Amino acid sequence: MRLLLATLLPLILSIDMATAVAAPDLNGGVWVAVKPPGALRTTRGERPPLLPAAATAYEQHLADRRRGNLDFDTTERCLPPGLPRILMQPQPFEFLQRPEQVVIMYQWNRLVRIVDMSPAILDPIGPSHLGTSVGHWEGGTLVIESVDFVDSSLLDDAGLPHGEKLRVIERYTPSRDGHSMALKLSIEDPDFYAHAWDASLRFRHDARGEITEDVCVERKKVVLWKEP
Amino acid sequence: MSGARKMLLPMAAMLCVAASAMAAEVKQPSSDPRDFNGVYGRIGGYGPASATVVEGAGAGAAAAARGRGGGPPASALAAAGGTAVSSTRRNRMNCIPEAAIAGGNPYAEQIIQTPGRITFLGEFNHIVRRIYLDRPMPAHVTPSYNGYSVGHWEGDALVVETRGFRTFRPPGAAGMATLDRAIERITKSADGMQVNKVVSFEGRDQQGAPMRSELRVAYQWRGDQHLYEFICEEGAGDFDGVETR
Repeated sequence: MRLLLATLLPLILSIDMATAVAAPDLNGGVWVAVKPPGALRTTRGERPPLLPAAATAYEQHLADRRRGNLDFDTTERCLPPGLPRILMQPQPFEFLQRPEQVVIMYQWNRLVRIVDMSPAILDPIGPSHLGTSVGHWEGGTLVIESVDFVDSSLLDDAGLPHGEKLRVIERYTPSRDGHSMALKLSIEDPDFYAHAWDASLRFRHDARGEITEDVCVERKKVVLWKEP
Repeated sequence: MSGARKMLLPMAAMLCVAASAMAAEVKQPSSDPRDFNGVYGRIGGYGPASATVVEGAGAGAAAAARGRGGGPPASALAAAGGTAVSSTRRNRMNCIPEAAIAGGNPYAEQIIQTPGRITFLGEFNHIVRRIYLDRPMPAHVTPSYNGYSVGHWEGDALVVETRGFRTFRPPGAAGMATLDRAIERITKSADGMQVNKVVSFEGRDQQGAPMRSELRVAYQWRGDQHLYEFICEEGAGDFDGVETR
């Protein structure tokens, strides 16, 4: 009997852990960041552990922004805010949730991330602004791991830099009533940060909200091409 | 980097992804005629599908839209009162989302079905069309390039009504003075390998008379593909070589 219990208990527990909290349904409505920080801080409220060269670049970005020089910020030319910066924008986003994929659709210039939920990891084909993402459910938490980013984007509006080795893990946990959602971020980039660090964000759900068509070049009045 | 090279990059990326995905698994379409989920590519090159005026003055003639190597000459477009030629080019060069309802490019398009919604997600300039199945058309719609769409099923056909297009009208409606709405009837072929749609544009001509034009667009199943991040703003102005209108 003891042997049987010892054999079955881990199995029972693992099944229980996996099924105790079913994956929530994220379809419908939109999510909006609650008091998104302009400058991302660690969960302890500290400045992220920038390596010296990265700290210099960050200070330069802060100084440039104070002077109104936004040349360093590619979003001024309507290139995508990278990850996690796009999550801290005032525009909402929505989830399209299917078993094989979770698609995150941001209002910001209609940007989209496709998160592969199948066990097979799609080989990254080259750096992109929002990276290549794979995800899975851990009970009621959607876990997304992303790699393969371009190095020209920033982690936040203030100007936290990163390189191509950036790796971001997002853990989205909706509240039981579905009205809000906590996001725990784990960020690592050995070329820019002394060690991996965590940050957190919060979102509220607008069940009746819809994503509207956003055209960045019109919103920012950017003219990319002039007629000859 | 030359415009042609920039243009080729996303295409090359698509092929790389396709090859990568093919090595792993080639997805097959669902046998359910109401299940459109998957990645498709429009059959045909750049430029919208050819439209035909089916009601109003000039019925039976090509409307102000044409595909590569076909359609009316520029003078006919001007005679039809269409100004979409230059505005389409200007918009595309400036990364303005074109009205995807007429299917204007051969890039991959993913259809995603979720409760109460069907979403058309275009790789080209990440143009998104949201079709709501769980609500009526709102009384007031904020105009947008792709309009506001609601749909319902008629048998195995998805019927979509779209209103609220912005001044840059879909190519099939370019000859109209005003566009009231577009109705799409979208179906899947029996083998699931093709999605076909008939788009009907209803509006009024320059004299205020009712006018209706129609175009057909077909999409081929691309189970070996995956959408890739396409950032138009990185290569803005580089789409001149592929402009066919």
